[in-house]
Order: sequence, then structure tokens, then C-alpha cells
Amino acid sequence: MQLNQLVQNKTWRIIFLHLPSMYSLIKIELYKIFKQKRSYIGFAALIVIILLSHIAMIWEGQEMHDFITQNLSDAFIMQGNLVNGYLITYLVLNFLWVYVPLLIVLVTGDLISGEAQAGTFRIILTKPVSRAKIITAKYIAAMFYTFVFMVIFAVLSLGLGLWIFGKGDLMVIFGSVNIFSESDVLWRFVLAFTYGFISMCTVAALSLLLSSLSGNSLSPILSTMAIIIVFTFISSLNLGVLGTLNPYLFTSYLDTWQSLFSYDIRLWDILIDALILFIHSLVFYGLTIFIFRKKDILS
Amino acid sequence: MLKQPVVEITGLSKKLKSIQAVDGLNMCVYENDIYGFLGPNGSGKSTTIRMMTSLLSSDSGSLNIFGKPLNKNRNQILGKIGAFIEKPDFYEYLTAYKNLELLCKYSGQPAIPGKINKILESVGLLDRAHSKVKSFSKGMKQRLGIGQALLNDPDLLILDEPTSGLDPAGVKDIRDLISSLNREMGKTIILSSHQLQDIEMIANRMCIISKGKQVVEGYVEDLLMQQSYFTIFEVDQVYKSIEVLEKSKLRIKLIEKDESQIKVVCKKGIIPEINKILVNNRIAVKSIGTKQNLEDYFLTLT
Repeated sequence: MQLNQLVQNKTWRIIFLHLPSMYSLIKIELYKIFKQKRSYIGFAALIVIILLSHIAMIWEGQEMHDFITQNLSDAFIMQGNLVNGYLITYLVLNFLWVYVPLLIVLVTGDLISGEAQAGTFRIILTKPVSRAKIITAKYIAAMFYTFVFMVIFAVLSLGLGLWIFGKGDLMVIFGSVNIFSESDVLWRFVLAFTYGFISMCTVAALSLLLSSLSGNSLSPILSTMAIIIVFTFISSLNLGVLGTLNPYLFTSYLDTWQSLFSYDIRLWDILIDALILFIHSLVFYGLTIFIFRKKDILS
Repeated sequence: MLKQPVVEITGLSKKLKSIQAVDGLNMCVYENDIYGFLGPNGSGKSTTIRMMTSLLSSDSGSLNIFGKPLNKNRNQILGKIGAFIEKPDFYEYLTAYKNLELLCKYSGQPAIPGKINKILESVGLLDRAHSKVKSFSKGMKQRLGIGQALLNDPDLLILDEPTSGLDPAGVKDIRDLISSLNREMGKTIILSSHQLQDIEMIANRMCIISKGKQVVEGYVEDLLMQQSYFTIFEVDQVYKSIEVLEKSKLRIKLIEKDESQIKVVCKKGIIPEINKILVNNRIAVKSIGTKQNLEDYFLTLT
């Protein structure tokens, strides 16, 4: 298709028309995020937790491994380096999964309400820029922040783990005792972190939605965490009427990454779960735009 | 030649929670006006200005700017407006220059260093261009707020309390700046202010609102000419004077009193009658003075 034909097409015309301004708005949002000291609190906390986890594993790793495998030693012959970088990363991943949403929401939950509280919307929204574009730029910037966070999480936990503890087979207990050969592990972590990114995007999207409803910085952060805790509690109960709610709660799909560490991986099911999370993110995004376009700026 | 209306507001209403903040407001601002927008606290001034800048939606009525309805031509109209709403809140962790650069980009304009520096110079902040806003005084933020309103070289400037918090020299600077923007660059300016002196000294037209409704609108000079006189009677018995004037059923309005004088608003022709009543009641009238300014006019209407 020729360029001028593309430009004549309505959809492409809208894209060509809005792309430069969207790019500029996204750059502004990212600049604002990374210029604030508070944005680095999450990174700092993540790095400290991962470092501490690795230091703890240097001292206690073998003892912990012996404790876990003592009941299995009758049935299995344990050989090689089982306390390795992969195991440490898997343990860190399981341990940190509870805290990662909080660390991300600390920044994303403040992106809209922070401006309302600071009064800066009073200046920005008198400029000729659509409210939907501002929200879209904030969403994309929040996703980028989440991506950077997950990359640091992955690189630091995996890289440091492999550097300190070396490679080896991965033994995990997920339903049963699963042992994966060294060459069969790395791709599982890549997919697990990718899935983690998608699920954290949903959490970030929820925090942005709640941020659009709030006039202060703290409420959206606390309410996002409260929703995650309540929904996760309902999901884990899985009893009676509450159990029927599970398919409709996005928290039911946050830990699907764990199934990547089983022998019988159902990639299609994992994809469906990721798609459900993505749809949740889209719904949260749509609702945020709907609310923000009608919002009266009173601050 | 007839001036073109720049802002036309008809029957504008807005309810905030249970309070009718603006109630069927009408007003019209013509090109090249410095339009004073007056009203006591809670009269609906800020709500009206926020509706003019699309920060608030209206419940009913029409709001046309540059001949077009704001709600259907938002971005096009905002591109020709510079606004300063209440207090200036910037990104405190960024410098003055960076704040203006970001706001340029929000407006979809290139952030040209020469233009930004020129604006900083015009509001007297060029030497602090690269200082973080958190280190600025209220007056400096106020000046930066006016600077950001000029970024897009607007045809219409909407300034809400621009001199609030400034020292006398700062107030004079801002008044001079507003006057020169109007006189030399032909910009239409809507100026909402509690400083009635601001309006009296620089506005040519004005509107007074109370409880969300227009009380009066017109040329400042004409309105001052029509007003009742604000008269001060210096007397030896203040309370007795009040008593006898209240009994007299004259068409006067008592505004204020202190130990030695009473201030009333009345038509010029009644002043001798008031004097006669006071003297007949054995009250010594030491002096009679009349004043005519906007503050007095404002007090009589609101």
C-alpha cells in the first residue's frame, strides 16, 4: 500500500495525526515518573529484598534444602548442585510475588491522584490536550515502569542467583515433586516473568482506575492492595458461593505463572489466563477514560 | 466599529454537590476588554472561570468563546486561551524552565528555548530559570503562573486572582504587565480579583456576581457614575445618630460605624436631609465627606 493511500484511510489518518503528540505525552509522563525520588523507592526495596534473599541463601540454603528433601531421600537419589541459581530465583519469585504489586502500585497509584492533589491538573487541563490522551499516556508510562520493574526483578534475581550459586537442575514442589534438567529451565523463567509482567500491568491498571476516582495519593494505593487481598482471600477459600466468583476475579489469574513449573504445561490455558488479565486491563483503562473525561477538576 | 464578543455566557448554571454555585449567569466579554470579574467569596467566580477553561462542565446554559461553543470545540478554543486559575501549582521537583517546557509540549507546541526564556524574562524570573520551583516564594510562583498562561501567545487571558499574595511592588508589576498585554498586544483579559483596586485601576468593563447570579455588568466608569454616594458623617454621638437615622425611614444603607463616624450609602440629594435630622436631634455634625470608589459600590451591591 502506498503511503498516500495509507494517509487517506481514516484509521491510519487518525494514527498519523495523533502519534507524534501521543509520543510527546508519553515522554512527558515518563520524565515525570523518573524525575521523582519516590519512583525509586520500589526499585530500591526490590534490590534490597533480592540481595538479602541471596545472602540468606548463602548461609542457610543447604540446610533448607536438606530439610525439604529429607523426606524424599528414601525415594530419590539426590546428586549434583540442587541449591543453584534457578532454585534461588524460583524461591525469590514465590516469596516476592506478594510484595511486587505493592511496590509497583506505590508509583502507578499516584499517577492521576497525585496530580489532582498537587493541583497541577488545574494547569495541564487548561491546555489544548484531550483528557483521553493524558490518561492513555499515563497508562503507557505506567506499563513501561512496570516493565522496567520486572526486568530489574528478573535480571537481578536470575543473574545474581546464577552468578553466586551457579547452574543446575531445578527441583520444585508444585502439586508433585518436579525436577527439570538445567537445559529445560531458562525458558520457563522467561515465560514466568513475561506472565508476571502481564499480571502486574493489570494491577497497575486497577490502581490507575482507583487513582482517577481519588483526590489524594494514599487512597488508591491502599484500596488497590485491599482489593487484591480481599479477592485473593476469596480465590484461596474456593468454597460454596464464594468459589463461583473465582472465574470473575482477576486475582484468580495472577499466579498462573506457577503452572510453567509443572511437567504438563497447558500453554493454551496460560494464554487464555493472560488474555483474561489483558481484557481486565483494557476494561480498567476504558473506565478510567470514561471517569476522567467527566471529572470536574475542583482541586 | 462594533466590538466582537469573545466570551458569551447565557443562563450558565452549575451545582456542586448540593450547592447551586452558578445560577443562570449571563455575561459578555468583548475583544480588547480588560473585564473585571467581581464577587464575594463563594459567589461562583471560580466555578465560572473553571467552566470557561473546561475544568468543570456546566449543568445548563451556553458558553461560547470566540463565537463557538466550548464543549464542542474544546481544544481549538483552549489553544487560544491562556489561563491562571487560583493558585499556581507546578511540578515542585522540576525547575521553572522545565515546567514551562513541559507545558509547551502539553499544548502541542515546540518548546523553543528563546521563547521560554523571553516569557521568564517578562515575568522577572529569568535569573531563576533553572531553580526548582519548590524553592520559589508564593510571589515567584504567581509570576510563573502568569508566565505559563502566556506560553501559547493567547488571544484571551483568564486570570483568577493573579495578584494574590504579592507584595505591593509585585502587585504593581502584574498590573502593569496586564495593562501592557492589553494595550500593546491587544489581548482580551478577564480578571477576577478580590483586590478591587486592580479592577478599578485597569479594567474597562466589569461584572459583579453574587450567589451565582449577575448583579450588574457594564463599563466601570458608567457604573461608578450611577452609584449612590458613600458618605461619612463625623458626629459626636454615634449610637444616637444610628437610632435617629433608622427611625427617619430615609432611603439610606448603613455600612459601617466606629467611635466617631458613621458611613452610609445614599443618593446625593439626601445628604442635606440626613444632616438636618442629625442637627435637629442635637447631634453635632463635625464633618461630612463623600467618596466614590469601586469598593463602596461593591459593598452596596453584594
